[in-house]
Order: sequence, then C-alpha cells, then structure tokens
Amino acid sequence: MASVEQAHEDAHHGPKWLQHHFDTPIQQFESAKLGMWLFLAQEILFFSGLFVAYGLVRLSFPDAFAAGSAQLNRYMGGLNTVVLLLSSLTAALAVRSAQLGKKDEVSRYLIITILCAFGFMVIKFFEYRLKFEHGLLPGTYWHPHLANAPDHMHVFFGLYFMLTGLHGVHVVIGIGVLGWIWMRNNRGDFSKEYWTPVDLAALYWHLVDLVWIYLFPLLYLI
Amino acid sequence: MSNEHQHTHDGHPNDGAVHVHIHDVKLYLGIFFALMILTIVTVLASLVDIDGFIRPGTPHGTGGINFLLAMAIATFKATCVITWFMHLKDDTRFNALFFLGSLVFAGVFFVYTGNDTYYRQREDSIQGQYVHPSTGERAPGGLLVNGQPCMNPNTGAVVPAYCLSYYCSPTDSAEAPGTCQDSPAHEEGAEHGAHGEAAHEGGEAAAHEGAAEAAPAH
Repeated sequence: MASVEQAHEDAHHGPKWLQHHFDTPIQQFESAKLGMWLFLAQEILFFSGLFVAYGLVRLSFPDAFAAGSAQLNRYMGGLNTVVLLLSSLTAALAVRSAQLGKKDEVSRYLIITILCAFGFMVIKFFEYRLKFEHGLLPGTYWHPHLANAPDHMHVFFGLYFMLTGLHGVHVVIGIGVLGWIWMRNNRGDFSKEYWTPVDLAALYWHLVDLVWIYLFPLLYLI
Repeated sequence: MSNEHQHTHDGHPNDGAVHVHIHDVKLYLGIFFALMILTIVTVLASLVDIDGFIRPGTPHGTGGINFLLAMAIATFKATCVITWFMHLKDDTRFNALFFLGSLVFAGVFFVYTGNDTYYRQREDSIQGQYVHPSTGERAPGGLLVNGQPCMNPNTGAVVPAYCLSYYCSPTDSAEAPGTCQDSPAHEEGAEHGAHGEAAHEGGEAAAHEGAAEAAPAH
C-alpha cells in the first residue's frame, strides 16, 4: 500500500531528475547554477593566495623573475594555452549540444575536451622534465646549472611549480569530472529538459582555462 | 496561476521549465578564433621590449608597460570566456555579482597585503622598535611592554623577541615599566643584545638586508 502511494507521489512531483525539495525544474536549475558560481568564486579566492604572493615577490625581485621566466619556453606555454582554449570551445559546444538533446554530439565534444586536457598534461610533463634536467627545482632541491643566476631566482621557481602544479591538479580533477559526465551522458541521463550537470562541469573546466589565461603571461611572458 | 505570470520578463513561458537561448555554433567559433589571435598577439608583444624602448636602460622584464599590456590582453580573453563560453551574459545577474565579488575581494587581499609589505621596512612612530630574533638588532615596527620597548636591564639594549616572555612578562610591576627580572642563564641573551646594539649603530643597511632575507623565507 505504501509503495503504491509512493509511486503516485513521484508521478505527480515530476521527472526523475527533479529532486523532491525543488518545486520546478527552473528552481532546481537556478539553484544549481548559483551553487556552481559560488564554488567558482571560491576557486578564484583559492588561487588568489598564490597570485598575491607572485605579485608581491615580483615587485620585490623583478630581475630574478625576468631571469626565471627566460628559462621557460614561451612557445610550449603558448601551445598549452591553445590546447586549453580549444578544450574550452569543445566544452562550450558540448553544453550547447546537451541543450539540444544531441547525445552523440555531447559525447564527441566531451571526448575532445578530455583529450585536450591529457595533451596539456603531456606538454607540462615535457616542460617539467626540462626544468629537472637544468636543476631548476623548487625549494631545497634548487641546484641551477646556470652561470650567473640572480639571487632570488629560486623564489620564482617556487612560485612557478606551486602555480602550475596547483593548476595541473585542477586539470587532472577536471579530467575526472568530465569523464564522469561523459559516462552519465552515455547512460542517457541527460535530455533537452535536463543537462545541468554538463553545464556545471563545463563551468569548472572554463575556470581551469581562465586561471591558465592569467598564468601564461605572468610566468612565461615576463 | 494568474494571467500576469504567464510569461517571464524575457518572454519565456512561465511553466517552470528551463528555457535558454541556444547560440549558434558560429558564435563559439568566432570567440575561439578571437582568443587564438589574442594569444598570438600577446606572445608577439612579449618579444618586443616596450619598456626598453620608452625608457632605455630598463632591464628586460622589469618595466611596467609590457606587464600591463599582457594583463590587458589576458583580461580581455578572460572576459570573452566568462561572458560567452560560461554564459554569464545570458545568466541571472546574481551569479555575475558573486563572481565579480570574488574578484573584488581578491583585489582587497592584494592591496591590503601589498600595503602592509611595502611599509614593513619603515620606522613606525607609534609602535616603536622591534628586534630581529636572531641578531638582536632593531627592526622597524614595534612591540611594547607597559608602553615602552622591552629592555635588557644589564645592557640597556632592546630584548630579542625570543627572550621577551622571560624578560618582560605581562605581570611586571607598574613601578619599573619596561624592565624585568634578571637571570644568569640569560647572560647569553645579554651578549646577543650587546652585539645587536653595536650592529644597529653600524647602519640601517643591515636591518634592511635582514628584513629582505626574511621576505623569501616566508
């Protein structure tokens, strides 16, 4: 008897993706979006600690930063920028396809986004390897194979590894999130009426791209 | 449901469903190409030493114009991504308020910390003098006990920070403000204090170096 009543209640409330504590889909959607934007605001503040450290230390030791930046390959960094911008495009297109209910397109765009993310990590691996080979390591492992390294150059590289490392962790997490959304899409969870998780995952990925848009000129283009 | 709620302000039927304006693929491609071009521009601009051209003799990478140009391009790229890829333009303004608010607070963080760091090496007329823990020499910015710096009664020098709790406890008598109990075990502290006094008279340059070294260590 109880289960029949339960089934009646579910049937009256709405589609299965509409959670019981929301009256309408638009209410659920707007709450989800607000929650995501709050999270993104937190992510900005999360990175701001390192960015403020960068700003103040660079003001104190501009020559060390110029010398440190010269050790980085701006074309590899530029390639990484292009890769992430492409991934942002495909993420936005995945959301658009989800809004149109086109499941296969969503799958394709998400795969390309994830491949770009892997490509980013591969390029990053080659960059880090160069740093390791030249002894440009963070903290106590600093042993540069350079003739006239300015005094505080190790601080630049400390910030370089922290900033790109934290960003890289976010890229890896993004691969996980996008992969999970790809699986959900594959399972048929999304439709023209409900594509919110795709939207939210893409918003996270765009933030990862945003951080890199600033990291690239700050670290590579001094 | 009354008639005036049939449509929302932007013309969508108010049936509780989610209605979004779906953009053309061309828009996303257009934004992407703009971002590509801006990336190329910013890389090329970084190869040109504008500061060295305007103010000859500026060491490469230490001037402000190249930096500001790179930041302006980056901000424009970021605005494109936020407005169009992240759909903030089509979203409720409330979400934009939160996001921009976080930028405001990050800005407050930077300005406040910057101001504090910038004035770190200056003398503070209100607080008095503070002592470098390992050398005992005076550094600007003060620590006061009973309204005066904590002094070592043997040498008359300002007490190093790591000795403060021994030399000047808060329960000091009001009759002898700023001075406190003596101990043979702290004669080393007294010697450090004496060295500190001499070093301080040697020049402010040492204090500046000490403070500058403290900065990257943190």
